[in-house]
Amino acid sequence: MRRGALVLVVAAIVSVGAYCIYIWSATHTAQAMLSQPEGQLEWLRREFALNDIQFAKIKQLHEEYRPKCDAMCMRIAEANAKANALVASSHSVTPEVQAAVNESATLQQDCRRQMLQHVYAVSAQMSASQGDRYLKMMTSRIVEPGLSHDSVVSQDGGSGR
Amino acid sequence: MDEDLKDKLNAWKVEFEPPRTFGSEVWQRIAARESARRNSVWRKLREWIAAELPKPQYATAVVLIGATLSIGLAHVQAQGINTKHWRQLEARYVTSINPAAQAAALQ
Repeated sequence: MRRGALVLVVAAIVSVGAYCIYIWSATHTAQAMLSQPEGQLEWLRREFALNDIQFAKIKQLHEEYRPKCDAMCMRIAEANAKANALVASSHSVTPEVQAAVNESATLQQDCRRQMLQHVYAVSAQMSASQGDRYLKMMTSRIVEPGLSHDSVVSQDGGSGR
Repeated sequence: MDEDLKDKLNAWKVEFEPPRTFGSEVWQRIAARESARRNSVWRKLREWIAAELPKPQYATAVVLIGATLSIGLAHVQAQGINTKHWRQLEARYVTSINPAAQAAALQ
């Protein structure tokens, strides 16, 4: 009985070990990408199968776009805060409230236009099929956020690469 | 106590004759229970573990089956974890190029 029990213990240890090793090896890449500050660019590289040249160009585009994006973010935040404060302190749509709401909407439009320019520029660096998929995914997220996630989800459902 | 009743009670004898098959039926039942106990699944499993499992071919098979099942389970769970991480990374990328989403996160 003791030898039989020993075999069972060995089988249990091997099974738990195999489980842990497999889980770690299959998930550590995505886990490492999540913990990196620029993990989203690595995601882009793997998701759209970018080669080194494509990735370098897209990374450069991303770096050039980032300061513009940050500036737009600050402008939108300020305009939203101003509009929110005016709306909260008014009891009707005063000319000031109207102007603040218009300014916020104009900024959002401007921001969306610049973002679309960036998305087109990035997709132009990809192969035709991947560029189309990227455009579809990004426009569904940014321009038409009402689209269902599944209609534009990653090629293999994000099973990790 | 009434003497008459006492006499009657003393004279009362219970005559019990067990059926002729009584002895054999009891032994049959005992034998059936013994046999059922010997044939129980747990007992057989314990006997198999003690006698057969230490043999190399069975020991190897049990270890391999355990490892295969655990890797299968790990594969399914890893897919779920990767899908979740992949969607988080996708959301991070979209936020990184979307000033409106960043502004919303600031507020």
